[in-house]
Amino acid sequence: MFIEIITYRVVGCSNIKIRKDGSLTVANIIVKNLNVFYGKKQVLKNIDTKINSGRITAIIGQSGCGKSTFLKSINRIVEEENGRINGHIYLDEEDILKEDSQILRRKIGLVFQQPEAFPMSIEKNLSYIMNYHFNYKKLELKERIKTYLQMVGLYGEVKEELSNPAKNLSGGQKQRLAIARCLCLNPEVLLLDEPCSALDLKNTLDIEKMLLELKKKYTIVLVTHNLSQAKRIADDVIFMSEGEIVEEGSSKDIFSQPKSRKMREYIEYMEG
Amino acid sequence: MIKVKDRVLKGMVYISLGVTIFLFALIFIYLIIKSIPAINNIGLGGLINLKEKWYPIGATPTFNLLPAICGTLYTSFLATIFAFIFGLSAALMLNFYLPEKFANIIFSFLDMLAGVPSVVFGFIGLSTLVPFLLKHFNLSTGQCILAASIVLGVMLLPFIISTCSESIKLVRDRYEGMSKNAGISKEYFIIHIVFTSIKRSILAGLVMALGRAIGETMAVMMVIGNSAIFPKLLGRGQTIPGITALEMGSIGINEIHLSALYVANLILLIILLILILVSQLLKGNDRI
Ligand SMILES: Nc1ncnc2c1ncn2[C@@H]1O[C@H](COP(=O)(O)OP(=O)(O)O)[C@@H](O)[C@H]1O
Ligand SMILES: [Mg+2]
Repeated sequence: MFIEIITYRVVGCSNIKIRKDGSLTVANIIVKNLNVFYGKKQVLKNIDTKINSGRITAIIGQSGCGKSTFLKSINRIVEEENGRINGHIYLDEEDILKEDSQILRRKIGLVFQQPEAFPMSIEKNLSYIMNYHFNYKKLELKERIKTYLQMVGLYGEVKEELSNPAKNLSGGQKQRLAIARCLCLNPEVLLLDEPCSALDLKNTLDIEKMLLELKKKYTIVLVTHNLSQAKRIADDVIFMSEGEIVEEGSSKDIFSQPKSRKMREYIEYMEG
Repeated sequence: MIKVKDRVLKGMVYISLGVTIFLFALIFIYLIIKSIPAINNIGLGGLINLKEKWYPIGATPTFNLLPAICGTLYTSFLATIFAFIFGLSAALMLNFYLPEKFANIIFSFLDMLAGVPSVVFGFIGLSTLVPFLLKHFNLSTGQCILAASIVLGVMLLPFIISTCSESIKLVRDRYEGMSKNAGISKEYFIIHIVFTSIKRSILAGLVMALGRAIGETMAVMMVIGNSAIFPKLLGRGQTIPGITALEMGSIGINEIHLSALYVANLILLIILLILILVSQLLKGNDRI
């Protein structure tokens, strides 16, 4: 795809590569014949799809249909929960199932549904991760903490209390801190599992605004059970049911003319 | 009807609490009353000093409790340290490195170990550890403070392991997924998150363990040598529970001797109360 890759070294976006034709890009995710099992139970069945870089892809579907499992397969956290992954997932050309899981999780950040912070100060929540993966000097570390907190719109609110325990933050702030913790890994892909389900409308809109900003630099996959959220910010939509992809396409097409009966029923059900 | 039931339940809870406190107060007062003759006759200087021995049956008997107090504290501290080092390591091993099924088998084994009567530990210590020390440390007798500390340490292990495990489990359930999710290794997680978040509850557990160690009688008595001299690691020693169990029954007419033992146990009780208080203060505000 690209023969010559030049890494672009700017704080916070060194993941961006330059294609030969000069366009900036981050990685696409290509999933081929993916099957995931927990014990004997098959949770994902024959998933085949491509998730495009530089766009927000929303995954929707009834709860229990395997949305979270799908995200957790992409950074292989499923394996930590004793799940089994069969098939292939590529990040551009590289097969992520063959990669070292620690390096992989640095490239593919996942934000969990429940807002939660590490039991330490706000700045340590980020430096805990950066100190493990990178060798930043003190000054650069400080600079980066500031940058990532700015990227998630948290810096203004907490700049006076960076050394206070993060547990005192509100749910929305914790969720944005969780996104900052992903960003500080310098990932190529950002996976978010219902990031707004525990938040009020204002926090939700804040996060959506931020995601629209971030999609220029990261491939974003967003699981949501909020259809209006998908309509507001998603470029592409994947609809799942019982572990399978039933329908996928651009957000416009899929919401204006759903093809399958299941999808129509789901939309009707959700919009009551 | 429900209201009446609530009242009855509430009343019973209050009564039980009252009875418990009353019994404890009774024990405490009884100890104080029984201690008075010794304190009057021997004086605090005679009961606690650096010069004399515990020699209650001589022509001029002396009743220095300090050697036994030191022996108690020495063995208990050492035992707690042993148990802490091995217990924390074992808890980490069980929680992070062994397969869950296997770890669960060991946990139930540890529960069983906690139920073994202390005389069994004393007996095993006496028949294996004591001869071993005798042979390899060139001692006149294998019964010593070290032997007692090791036996006591082994007895504390199940408690320490389960205390450590409980705290580790809490932290682990809550944060390990997040940490792995950031591509971080187990060891880094253990050092930077587990240790810092369980510090206080582990410390509280250690203080509780120390309390248990101080009260332990039988097993210690069997391997410590029972000689009320100031304790040395490889020498004989004595503990307050030991001295009490050995001498209480055989005292005939010497009322002062008996009273001195009450003083010893009053001191033991006060030490225990302080430990429990410290442990309670340490608990509760962990940063989990
Ligand atoms: N750790 C696990 N162990 C066993 N089964 C699981 C586990 N996680 C999820 N599952 C099962 O996989 C199915 C899909 O779950 P999930 O991916 O969380 O659905 P969704 O996110 O769409 O609500 C559910 O039936 C659930 O019970
Ligand atoms: Mg889910």
